Amino acid sequence: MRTLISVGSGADRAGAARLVVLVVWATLSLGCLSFRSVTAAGSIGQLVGARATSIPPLLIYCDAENILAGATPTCPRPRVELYVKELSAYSQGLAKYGTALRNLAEYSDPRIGEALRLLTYGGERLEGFNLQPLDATSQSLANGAYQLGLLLTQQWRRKELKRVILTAHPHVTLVVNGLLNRVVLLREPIKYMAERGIADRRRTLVEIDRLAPVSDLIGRQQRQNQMLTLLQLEFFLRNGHEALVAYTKALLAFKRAHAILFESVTLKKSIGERDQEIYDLLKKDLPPLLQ
Amino acid sequence: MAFSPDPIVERALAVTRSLRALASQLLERAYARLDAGELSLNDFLLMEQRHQAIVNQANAAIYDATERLAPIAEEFQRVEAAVKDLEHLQGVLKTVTDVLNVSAQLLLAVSALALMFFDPNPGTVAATASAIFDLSRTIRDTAAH
Repeated sequence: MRTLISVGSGADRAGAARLVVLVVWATLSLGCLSFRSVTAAGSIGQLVGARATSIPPLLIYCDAENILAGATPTCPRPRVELYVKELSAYSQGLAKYGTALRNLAEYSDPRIGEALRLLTYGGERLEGFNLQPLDATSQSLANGAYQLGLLLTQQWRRKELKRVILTAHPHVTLVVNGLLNRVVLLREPIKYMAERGIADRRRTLVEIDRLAPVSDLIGRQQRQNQMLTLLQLEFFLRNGHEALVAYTKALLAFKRAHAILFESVTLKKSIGERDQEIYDLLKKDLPPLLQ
Repeated sequence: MAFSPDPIVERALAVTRSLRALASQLLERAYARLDAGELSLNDFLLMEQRHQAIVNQANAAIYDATERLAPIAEEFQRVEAAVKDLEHLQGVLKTVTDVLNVSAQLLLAVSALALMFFDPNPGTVAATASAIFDLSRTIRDTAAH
C-alpha cells in the first residue's frame, strides 16, 4: 500500500491515494450482504428480548385461572414456571444474537484508519529521514488511509456475517417457530379470561346481587368489592394479552427479517442492486408485522 | 409473513375454541332462562359450573398440547454458538485494530529515533520522546483492555 501511495509527490500522491481507495471500494463492494439490513434485523432481534417482559406474568395468569377453575386446577404451575424460564431465556438469547449481529455490522473503529495513516507516515520518515509537515497532501493521505481501513474490515465483516447468517438461519427459524407455537398456545386461556371469562363472572355477581334480599347489606358490600377486584383483574389480563400479542409480532418480524438476510446472502447480485432491494423488502414487510 | 403453526397447535386451537364457544352459548342460555324466571339462582349456578367445567377442559387441552411440542433446546444451543462466533469475530477485529495501532506507533517511534540519530536537535528529541510516550501509553491501554 505504501509503495502505491508514495509514488510521486504532492498532488500526484494524493490522487494516487484516492485512486487506490476507489479501486479497493469497487473491488470490495462486490458482496451481497448489506450492513444496513443486518443492523435492521439485529434491532428486531433486540425487540424480541425487550418484549419478552410479557412472559413472567404468565405465572400470575396461571394462578388466576386455577382460582376460577374451582376444585380441580387446570393450569400446571410447575410446568408453566419451566415454560416461563425457557421462553425468557430463549428470547434473551435471540436478543443477544441480534445485538452481536448489529455490533459486527456496525463495527467502526477510527483507530484502524489512524493506524494505517501512521504506518504510511512513519514509513515515509524512515525512508526520507525528514519530517513532513501535515499539509493538504498528508491530510488526503490520512483520509484515504482511514477509508481503506474501513473498507478492509468491511469486506472481512461482510464475509463473516454471511457465513454466520447462513449457518444460524435454520436454527434461528426453528427457535422462533418453537417460541411462537408455545406463546400462541399459552396465551389462549388468558385471551378467553380477558375477553369473556371475567366479564361473565362479573355478570353472574350482578345477577346474584339482583336476586339477593334487600336486607343482605354485608353480602352486597362484599359483592361490590369482588366486582371491583374482577374489574381490575380484567384490565390486567387485557394488558397482559396485548403484551403477549406484541411479543408474538416481534418474533414474526424477526423471523421475516432473518429470512430476508438469508435470502440476500444466498443470491449472487451486486450490492448496489441488492441493497435497495433488501432495504425495500424490510421497509415493506416489517412494519405491518409489528403493528 | 404468515406463520404456519405446528399441527398440534392448530388442532388444539380449533378444538378448544369450539369448546369455549359451546360453553359461552350454554351460559348465555342460562342467563336468558334466569332473566325469564325459568331458572332458580341455584339452578343457574349449577349451569354456570357446567360452563366452567367445559372451559376447564379447554384449558387443560391447551397445556397438554404445549407439553407435546417438540423441544427447541438443541436448536437454541446452535443459536448460542452463533452468538459466541459473532462475539469472537468482534474480538478478532478489535485485536487486529489493536495490533495495527501498536505497530503504527512503534514504526513512528522508530522513525523518530532514527531521525534523532541523524539530525540531533531539541525538536527531534522532543518528537522522539513524545512518540515513545504515545507508544507506551497505547501498549498500556491495549493491555488493560
